[in-house]
Amino acid sequence: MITLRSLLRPTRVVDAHCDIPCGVYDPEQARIEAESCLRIIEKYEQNTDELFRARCIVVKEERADLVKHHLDVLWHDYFKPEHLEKYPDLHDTFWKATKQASKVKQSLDAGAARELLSMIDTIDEMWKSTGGAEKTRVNGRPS
Amino acid sequence: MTTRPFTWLGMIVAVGWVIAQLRRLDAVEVRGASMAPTLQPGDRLIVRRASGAPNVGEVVVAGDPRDRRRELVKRVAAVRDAHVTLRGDNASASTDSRAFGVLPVAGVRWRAVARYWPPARIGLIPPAPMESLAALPASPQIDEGGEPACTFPEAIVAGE
Repeated sequence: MITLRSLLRPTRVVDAHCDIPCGVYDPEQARIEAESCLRIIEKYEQNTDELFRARCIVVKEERADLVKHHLDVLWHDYFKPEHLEKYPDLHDTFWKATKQASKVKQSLDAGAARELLSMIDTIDEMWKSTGGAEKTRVNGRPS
Repeated sequence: MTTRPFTWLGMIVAVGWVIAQLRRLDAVEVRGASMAPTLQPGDRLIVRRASGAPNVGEVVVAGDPRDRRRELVKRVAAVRDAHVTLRGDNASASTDSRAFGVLPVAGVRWRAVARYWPPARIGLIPPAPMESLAALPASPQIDEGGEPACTFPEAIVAGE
């Protein structure tokens, strides 16, 4: 028998869909790796053991590569054309930040690593102002 | 008295017409927030089977070109050369033609007519006013030189 309830029951779900990039990526990933680069460079400077220093270089290069990876993903998957309208220098900012990550990978310059951190912070501001933090962070962490 | 059979015939035709129209209707539930604020997750809609090309500004249900098991509810941003450009009203949180390109008109299966749930927001789903569409690109070719919104393989796999 046809009841009002059965008439009103939806037959299926339609998706007002947004892929994974909505609410998954966080510049904090890149920042943690960049912080690691800075600390490794400091440890390198404080230590004279050749083996230790060699390991520092290896690990720093890995971490600098991860910075580039996280920034790349954020750039092409999280940021959308509307964000570019809001931040016309978005592409340039990412290009320079990833280039800076290459510089950190190649050198043992703590200043370069600090510069990278401040560039990631600029990206973080763009991400936050486009609602990234509300969509992504669980229980507001990290603040 | 002689007109009576014709009256009956007329009523049967009328009832048949109503049933035929009702059969073109369906009820669906919205999942996801890419059509906010127009449509909220959990909204229930009456949709009508689409025939012919939709109009620019209409909210439609179309097959997801990347996943045939899924139907998407989006707004028609442009119609050109028998293809439609779809866009979510909540553009910064929407996977739409910017990610998967234009769809053939036949991909648009239903038009959203009205919302019947929740009761507080019962009403017709009007086409978008022209001024809000002015901000959208008129051409279906959207990503000229720009990055596609979602190209990372993980994104393609992402279902609900």
